[in-house]
Amino acid sequence: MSILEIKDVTYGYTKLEHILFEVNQNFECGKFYAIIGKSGAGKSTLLSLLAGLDEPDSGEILFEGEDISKTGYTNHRKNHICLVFQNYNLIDYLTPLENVRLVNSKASPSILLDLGLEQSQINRSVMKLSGGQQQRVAIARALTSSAPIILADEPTGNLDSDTASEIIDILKARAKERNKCVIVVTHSKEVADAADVVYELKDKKLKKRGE
Amino acid sequence: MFKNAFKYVTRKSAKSMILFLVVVIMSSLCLVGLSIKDATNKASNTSLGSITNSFTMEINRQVNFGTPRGAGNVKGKDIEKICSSKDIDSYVKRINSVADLVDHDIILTSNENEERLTKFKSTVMLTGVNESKKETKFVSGAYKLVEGKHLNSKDKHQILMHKDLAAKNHLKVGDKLLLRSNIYDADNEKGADETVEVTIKGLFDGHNQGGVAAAQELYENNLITDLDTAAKVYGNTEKTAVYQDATFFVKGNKDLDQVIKNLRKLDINWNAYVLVKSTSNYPALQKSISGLYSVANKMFIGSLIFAGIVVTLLLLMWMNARRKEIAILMALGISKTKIFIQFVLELCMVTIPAYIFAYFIASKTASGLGTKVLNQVSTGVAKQIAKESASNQLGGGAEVDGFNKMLTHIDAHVEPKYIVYVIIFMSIVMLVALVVATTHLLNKNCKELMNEEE
Repeated sequence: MSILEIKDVTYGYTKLEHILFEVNQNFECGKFYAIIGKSGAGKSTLLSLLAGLDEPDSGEILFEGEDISKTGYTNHRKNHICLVFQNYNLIDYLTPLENVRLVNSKASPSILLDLGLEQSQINRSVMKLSGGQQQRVAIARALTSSAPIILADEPTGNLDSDTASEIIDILKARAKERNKCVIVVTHSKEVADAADVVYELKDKKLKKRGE
Repeated sequence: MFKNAFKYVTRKSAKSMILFLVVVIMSSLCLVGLSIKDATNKASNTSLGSITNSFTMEINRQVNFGTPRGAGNVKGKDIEKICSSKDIDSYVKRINSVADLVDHDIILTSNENEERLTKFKSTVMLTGVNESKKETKFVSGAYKLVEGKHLNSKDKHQILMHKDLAAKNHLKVGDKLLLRSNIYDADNEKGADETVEVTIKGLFDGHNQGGVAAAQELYENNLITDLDTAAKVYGNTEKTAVYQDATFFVKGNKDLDQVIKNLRKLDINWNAYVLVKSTSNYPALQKSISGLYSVANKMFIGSLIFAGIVVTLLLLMWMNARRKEIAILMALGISKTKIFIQFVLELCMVTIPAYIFAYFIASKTASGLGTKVLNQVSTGVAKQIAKESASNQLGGGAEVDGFNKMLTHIDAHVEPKYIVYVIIFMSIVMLVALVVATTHLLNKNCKELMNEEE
């Protein structure tokens, strides 16, 4: 059963020029999706629409069958999705554990240890962590959230290939354990290869790769 | 929110400290401003209350030239009419007359001529009053009682003498002396030749600020007497005497202007008189009070405005640097209201200790700053008055009682209620500054903020 559905979504930066046109697609729990496409194809825009950061010109984004514009975008972002960004987007004056607890005040430090951080690192400033470590914190934040969907925009874009591969493996494994739906926008072939389902954004439409 | 606000305040300690110092300094100045204002209020209301709620009935010199010597000729019955008004609390009426000291000497000046010495060798000026404590010269500080007691309305044949005149004649409080009418005095129209035995009830001090033309103008040769004594040397009684002027004190809850307006309806020949508010006889005092109010107001309002501008600029700068944080919090589903409340909490965590700190700083400095401000204002007023006097040739006018009187002391101290006012006003300013600094950010959506950040 799909948890998130895109229904006839059209979006453009101007009224005349659409970047997405009547896009339809379903996403299910427990699966890892990759959305690929050329630069400027509208991948990040689509992710913004799925996250409720922006609203479509027409069409609907449905969470468990309900239009998120009617249930509220803030509510959608708070309860249904959790975002992971290319540039980590951690709050600089909080520690890794405190960043994680922004979405779940009862989150255990063990999630950070599981993701490879050391005990001494979880209570120090996030600014003292490396890029890979910061992205682990961002993923830990997404995993501990009660939201069933993780939306990730180029999560490995700033990481070297070894770290990127490790991060994707962790994200995929932990999300599966928690039966979360993971939707990753990426340019990376490795990330796409790791996905259960790959969608390609092409000619303003979202199609399964190979279709 | 509370925890995150606390973490921001403690971990961004440099920013918090800058904001803390700005609020401490500005709040301290606000508190000092309020305490100076209140101290000025108290000084003008309590010690100088009799000036601010009184007026004097004088002759209208444009149509009424007064006595032959040029003194006032206010009728006693007209004074009585005003006294009977329900708005009048008390009054002091004055008789100016002239008498000779019998077997005693006055203090002479170096420029006495033979003719004056023949007629006025031992002549003193008498100021008969019903209550010497309220006599203008004592109120203004020109005279100061140094020994004995003030005259009251029940006293008869009692005087207050200048201490230097008493010393010259080896007189002291309780001693008796004779006063005799002076037949050469132009105001002794009846040619009275009365002798009155008076008792010294008190001694006063005080010296002329400028030069005098005759010995009788010296403060030293002025006797403050009861009304009967001053009237009797001209062959009058309290009822038949003409008065120099009279000062009326209005009841505390009455508006002075309204009272004066009402009194003009009384059956009195108003063409012959003018009613002058006592404050107009104290230009330096008025200027020093208004100067202090002005400085106190500037300090209070200026601090609020300055704090508002500085805090707004700081917050604008710091909030712009936090647009990424705002975007992240929005992306995590935290509402704009909650984000704004976190900012408010952060401000509270910095400003509340700052208010407390400011209270202690202001408590320690208010008195000293108050005195400094008073000195500064007094110096400015003195210069201004001197300049005006010179340009208006008011050398003689400067001798008018109270002309140069100024506030000499204010007791500025910070009362706990002031911190409440400062907290209210400063908090409003802080809140406005925060709204100004965050509105343009919180009005944007999460995606716009993220795009700007990138």
